[in-house]
Amino acid sequence: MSATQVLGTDPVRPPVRRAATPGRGWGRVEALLTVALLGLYLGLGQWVVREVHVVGFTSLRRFADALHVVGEPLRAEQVLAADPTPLATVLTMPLTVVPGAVTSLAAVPVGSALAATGVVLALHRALGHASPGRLTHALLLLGIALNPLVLLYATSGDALLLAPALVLAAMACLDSYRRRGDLRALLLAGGALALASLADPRLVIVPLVLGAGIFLAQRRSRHPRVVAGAEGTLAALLSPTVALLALWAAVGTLLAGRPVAWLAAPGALRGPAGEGDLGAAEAWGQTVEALALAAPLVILVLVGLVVRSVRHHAPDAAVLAALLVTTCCLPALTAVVSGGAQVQVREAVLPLLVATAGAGLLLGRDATGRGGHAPKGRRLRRVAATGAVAVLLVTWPTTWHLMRTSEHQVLEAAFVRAVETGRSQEGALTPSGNRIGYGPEARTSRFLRDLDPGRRGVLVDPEVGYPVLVGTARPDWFRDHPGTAGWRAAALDPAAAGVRYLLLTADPASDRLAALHPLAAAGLDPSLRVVHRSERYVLVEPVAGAADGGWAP
Amino acid sequence: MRTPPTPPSSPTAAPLTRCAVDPALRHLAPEGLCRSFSLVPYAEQDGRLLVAAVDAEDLVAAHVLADRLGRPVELVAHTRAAVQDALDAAYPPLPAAAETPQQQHQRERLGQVLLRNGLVANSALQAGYVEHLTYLRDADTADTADTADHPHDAGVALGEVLVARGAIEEDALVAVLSELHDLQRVSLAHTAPTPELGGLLPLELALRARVVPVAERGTQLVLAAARPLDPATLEELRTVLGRPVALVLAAAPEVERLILGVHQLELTDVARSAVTDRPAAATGHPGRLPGHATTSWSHRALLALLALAAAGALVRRPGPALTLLAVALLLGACLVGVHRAVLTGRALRPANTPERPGSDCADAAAPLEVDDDPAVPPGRLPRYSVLVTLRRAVALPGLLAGLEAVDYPRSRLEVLLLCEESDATVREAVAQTLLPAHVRVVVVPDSHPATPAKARNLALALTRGELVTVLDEADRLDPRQLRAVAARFAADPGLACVQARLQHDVVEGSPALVAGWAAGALAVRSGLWVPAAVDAGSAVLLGESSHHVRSAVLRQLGGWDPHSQTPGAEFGVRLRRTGHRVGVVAAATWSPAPTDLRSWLRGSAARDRGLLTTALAHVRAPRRLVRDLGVRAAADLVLTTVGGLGRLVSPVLVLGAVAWVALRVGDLEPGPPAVQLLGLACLVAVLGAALGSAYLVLAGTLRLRRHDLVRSALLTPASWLLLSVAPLLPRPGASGVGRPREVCP
Repeated sequence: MSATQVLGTDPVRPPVRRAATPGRGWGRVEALLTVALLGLYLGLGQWVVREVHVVGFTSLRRFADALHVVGEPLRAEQVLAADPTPLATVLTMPLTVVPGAVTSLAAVPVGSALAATGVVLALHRALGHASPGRLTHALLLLGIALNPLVLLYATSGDALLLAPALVLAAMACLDSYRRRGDLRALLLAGGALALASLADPRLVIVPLVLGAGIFLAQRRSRHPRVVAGAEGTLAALLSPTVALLALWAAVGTLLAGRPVAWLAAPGALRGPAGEGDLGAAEAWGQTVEALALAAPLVILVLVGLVVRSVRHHAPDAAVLAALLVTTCCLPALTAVVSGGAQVQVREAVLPLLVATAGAGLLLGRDATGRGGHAPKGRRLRRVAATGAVAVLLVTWPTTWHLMRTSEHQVLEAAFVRAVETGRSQEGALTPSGNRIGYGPEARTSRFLRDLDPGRRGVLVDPEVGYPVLVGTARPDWFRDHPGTAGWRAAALDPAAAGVRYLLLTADPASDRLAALHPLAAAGLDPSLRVVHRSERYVLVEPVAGAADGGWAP
Repeated sequence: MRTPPTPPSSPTAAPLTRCAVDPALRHLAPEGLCRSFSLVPYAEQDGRLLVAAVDAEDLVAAHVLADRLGRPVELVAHTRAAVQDALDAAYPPLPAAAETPQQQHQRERLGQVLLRNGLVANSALQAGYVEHLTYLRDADTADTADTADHPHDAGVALGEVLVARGAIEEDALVAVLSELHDLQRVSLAHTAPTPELGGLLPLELALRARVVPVAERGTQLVLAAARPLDPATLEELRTVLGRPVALVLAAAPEVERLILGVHQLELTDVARSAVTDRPAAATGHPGRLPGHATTSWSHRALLALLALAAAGALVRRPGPALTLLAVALLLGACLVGVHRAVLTGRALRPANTPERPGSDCADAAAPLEVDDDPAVPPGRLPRYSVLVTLRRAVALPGLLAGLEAVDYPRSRLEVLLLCEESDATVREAVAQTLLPAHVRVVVVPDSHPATPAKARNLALALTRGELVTVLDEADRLDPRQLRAVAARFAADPGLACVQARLQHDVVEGSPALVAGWAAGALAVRSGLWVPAAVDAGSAVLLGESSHHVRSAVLRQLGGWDPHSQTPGAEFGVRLRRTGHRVGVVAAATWSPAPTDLRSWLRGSAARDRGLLTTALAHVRAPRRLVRDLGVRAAADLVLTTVGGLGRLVSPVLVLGAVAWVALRVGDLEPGPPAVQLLGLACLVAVLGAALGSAYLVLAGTLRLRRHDLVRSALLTPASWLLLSVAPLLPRPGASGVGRPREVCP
């Protein structure tokens, strides 16, 4: 490939495009595939979330935030400014319009199922361009769609697949721009990358890598038009990300005094189950282990990209390879940078799996276009496709094994146990020591629904009370803005502030309200009477006229 | 350097037979030349080209051919039948003969007189012959040839070609024609118009025959004509005037000046009110805007009632009213944003995709240097009239240099420089400049409104072109633009108008950022909105320059609206309302970007106001608008122009957004929810518009490959904020001919 055909340049003359969507009835195939995948993920999701209770608290937190934004649009910026994945929250908002679906958690897997379906459809389209043959096509799709990790995060309501889906869309758009000079695709790619960085702040690195690739490719060209075109391409690709991040930083600065409040929010850069410091060597070791067991395909694709980059002087292959390497290293780098977080299986493997599949398909499609129809090319392509299918299928059991045995995970082992035994995981422990389940939250929510505490009637620390809020689907009942002076005043003197109930946990370390009333959860605070108790929550009521029994200053 | 012909009829030359014509030589000379001189090259001998000719002693023919081919030629006498036979073999015969014997006689007479008096160089005469014959032959086979191409006298037609080519002066032609037709020749250079006499002849007939009454001689009326008249026209004149007439010849510009002077009032009246005086169904014009006499009391009453209702709602139920306002604002902003995204997507569709074969937009998306309609044969190129508004004397040399570069036969091109009667400086500068023969000056009488549109309407009556286009004095045409447009019209006879791409170039001395912003905004309008509207079949908001219109359509629609600040855009809406279609070509017209921020802001605000006024005028009768345009095109029109409304109210939006942020940051009492919601809506609208406009400009600049504008495109949000104060700047006066351009193109 000549220097004028790299991503960052202005295509001088768009090459003739091969038939992109082969055969008649392609639309019907896509529709069937969409319905089948959505049905599978949604059906399995209902079982996983509602029956066996394998649901992450990050999903519930997102639903709580979405309920807040919908219920109180004028406070939306306060919620979203500190949200590390605001896009996921915004996209969750439409799922909260039916309160019954929220309280029953039926709405929880919908978003993840849609994202996963989108990813598989995008791969299906890319496969259509690569034309690997129908059986290989189907097997490759199956290899991704039914991968255990994909299944888990397509069904448990997690937003982890959203960002890879957007990056995949951006890559497809860039590919379209590279081949056809379609400016719409370039602009859409810029938008998709910006949204991806709002879905996962770490993915800011993707447009940076792409930009660097374009810049380097441009430097190799001496043609002034190529240089000028690269500047335009870079601007179109990067400006949406820069603008959105600048906007977010401005909102953070204005509201919290910290431009990167969203980045510093809990869970932004580290997994939810961090367990102390982790050395760099251990982080890299975990990464390699996760990749070797769950995404070995990346090695094949990386080799292919490097060979193509060197043999054909293809800067776009080099850029893709750089992207893959970055994606490989991202979890470990994050762990090292954030000072001690673990490398989660899902964070190491899932995005990489999607990125690898996408890059592999682009590689296969380019190989088809460049002598791929010659006998030797056809044979090579067939071997590569067969190898990819074999690796993907072999990955299922190894991934299953990794999910079952890895210590650095959230819900993987619970999912594996649930599938193997068919039993609810309520109350089970994760390998990292967290208890699984939604029962206490559901019971407390049910009690509150029966109680009807009224507007702003329940004072709670949102860091611990959000699952209960989701169970009620009534954000207006809760007073949960700890950053405001009013919240602290109400916490210190609930009766005077018109608070009817305080929702506490037994853990003062993570609950600011429990820290202010350390005796209340145990029922030892005379000014606060316990009205409901579950395994994790205690609902107390201020006693009128009682002496203050002991709040901690 | 000319190659002298060798003596004819060498006895050694081989005779011509049909099969003896060397296939490599038979197309060596143009067909027009071969047929007009009855000759055909047929062999080579000793480095000489042997040419079979009916008249082997025709020195003129030998000279022309040697000059054209750049090599020695030898005419060999042959019978007419043999030459004709060889010619027919080389060029299959056309349905009609190129020239009748009578036309040939007239042409030759004019040529002989010109040569005899030393008024024309021989080579120039021959070149004129060839061009004239090309027109004559192609026009005979063309369906669209107008009567202006067929003067009753072939000598007159040849003379016109020679004048246009600069081979002879207009005065020389008049002198020769007066000699040939035995007519008295007069000079009208110092003759003042006499309305009493001139008014005896109707304007339409005067313009058509290019005749003006100048004196009475007994019962006879003396008519000054630019060219000899055919008997039918002469008879028509006698009938209309009801008395005998005597014809004298005068130079065409002088005759035209007198016609303009005599019929000044009528022409001005037509220029001012042709659009509104005709039935709306014919012109597509909805009548004048509020404030003008045509606004009905019912409209005023309705507006007053609406204002009262809004004020009442705000006072009595401020909460719901403000909430409603905020929701409407957000919905409006979203709608405009989505509409612009759709338009951008439409404009950016890659060329030649299967989903839209043959679309105009596909052409506009093609590389800039390609307008790939089949070229129109030279003889079929339509007559072109270019109307140029001349405001400053200093612009004249640059304008003439730009026009000189235009690649279009001068005999098919007329350029009318429009300057105001009261602008003595410009008139003096023009008088002191030696203008090319195809460029002439029209002095526009002072009258209200002093707008370029009115001046163009007035000049329209004087044009003879099939196609008319408008330019500003600072504009620089792509030299191939006129041919590209002619080719587009020829390829699609249903087109009524073609908009050329408009671009700003950054002139030395203008701040790069301001120029970049202006160029970026123009790139969006010209590179995105216009092709998108053409592609969608919506009303195209034409630019204020370089829209090329069929003159018949222009006249049918009453010309441009002289009261509009954006007459081009307004005309585009009327074109669509009357069922006409618009196309685009990529050949660009370049104009210098504004030189300072203030003038750009004022120009942009004026354009926004103009577009908004246009939209309001047409939306006043919504049912009729929907009936004329269809729902989608009507919605397109409203949503495209409502961006201007957004900018007009943007100071309020910015204030609302700033207030909302200040309340949030200062942790002050935020006020009632409705007020907060309104502030939030303002913030969202401002941010959306600012960021969205940056991406739009980026898209526009990338589409036009204006990579030099990328950096300024990224700073567009700042320009958007500056534009928001533009409506607060003092409004300039009406944009007259004599003042610099006030409205962005």
